[in-house]
Amino acid sequence: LRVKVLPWNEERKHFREKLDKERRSGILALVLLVALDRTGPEYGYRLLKAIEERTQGRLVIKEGTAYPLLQKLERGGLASTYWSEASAGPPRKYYQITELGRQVAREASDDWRTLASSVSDFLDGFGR
Amino acid sequence: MGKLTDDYLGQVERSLETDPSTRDQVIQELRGAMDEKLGALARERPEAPIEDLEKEILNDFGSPTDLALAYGPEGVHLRRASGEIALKLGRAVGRGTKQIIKWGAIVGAVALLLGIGLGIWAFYEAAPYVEGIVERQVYREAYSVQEFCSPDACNGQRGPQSFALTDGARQVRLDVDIDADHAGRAGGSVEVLFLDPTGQTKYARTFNLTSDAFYREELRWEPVEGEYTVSIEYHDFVGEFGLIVSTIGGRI
Repeated sequence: LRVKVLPWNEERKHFREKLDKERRSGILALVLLVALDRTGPEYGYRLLKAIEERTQGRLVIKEGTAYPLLQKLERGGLASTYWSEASAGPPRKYYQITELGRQVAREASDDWRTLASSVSDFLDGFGR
Repeated sequence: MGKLTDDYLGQVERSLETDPSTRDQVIQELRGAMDEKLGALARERPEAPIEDLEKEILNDFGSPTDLALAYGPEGVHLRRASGEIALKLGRAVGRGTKQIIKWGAIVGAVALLLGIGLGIWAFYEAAPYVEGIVERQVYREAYSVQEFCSPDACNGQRGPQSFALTDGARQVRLDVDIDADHAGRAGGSVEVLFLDPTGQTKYARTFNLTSDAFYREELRWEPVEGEYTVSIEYHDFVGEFGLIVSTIGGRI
């Protein structure tokens, strides 16, 4: 008799949540990286606004998700940062994509397009 | 920015496990982002109370501990991480304890059943073995005589008395004990004659008793099947006389 601490359903739920979180995290990191590539050096608030405007409000990344991801890009060497005084308010931390970040963004974008296209075709095929 | 934001950022700061410099930068960046967002919201909705806008912003940032945790391993929320480790340890210990309790109960139950089984076996089967041990080790009385000749002296013959040994007896033992009475009175004599079933004299002795003399004898022989005979004859005997014939082995 083995005693499982978590019921199987909860284990499954936990695993799925973890996968979803990782998937979202990966996609959003790609979005942030590509956005940085398009906008050039930018600070967090403006970068998020740019994404929102560019996607006409269809893609809104919450700050609680975005700022930790930006820090991860920095730690991974995909983005560099610097601080700059603001005309009003506290100093701003600017993010700038690195060459490594640009290369990763290209590869990851290609992968995403392939995956999205394949999944879309698959779903369409099964949806008939 | 108001107290709500300060409290929120304070919680994030306490939850971040990182070097002070990085922590300060994270808090500064978050504060700047909140400040800018608040300004934008205030411009969009000038009629809205600042506190409401502040709450809305903090809601978008999520819970402070989750935010700190989202900063990843290098900015991990120590207490939560510790809590998770403790939880995992607790689960492991819990599993271990449950296993110990479970197996302890099983071993206990098996031991109990074995004990009951042994008890039943001992009750029905082991008794002869135990008896055998007792038989091999314990003397059992086959014949005895004890007489107190005091203050009046004893005279005359007692017996001959006959007795048989039990089946399977492996040894015959004769104990003779002759002594003054409790007041120290002693005198006269007593003759003891002990014959085996074949009529052969195994023991014959006359004891002259004085106040400063007493006798104790212990003799052993191989048993012979049949009836043994004991004869005792007193001559003005004053004192205490005892004789015991016992055997080892045989049926109880």
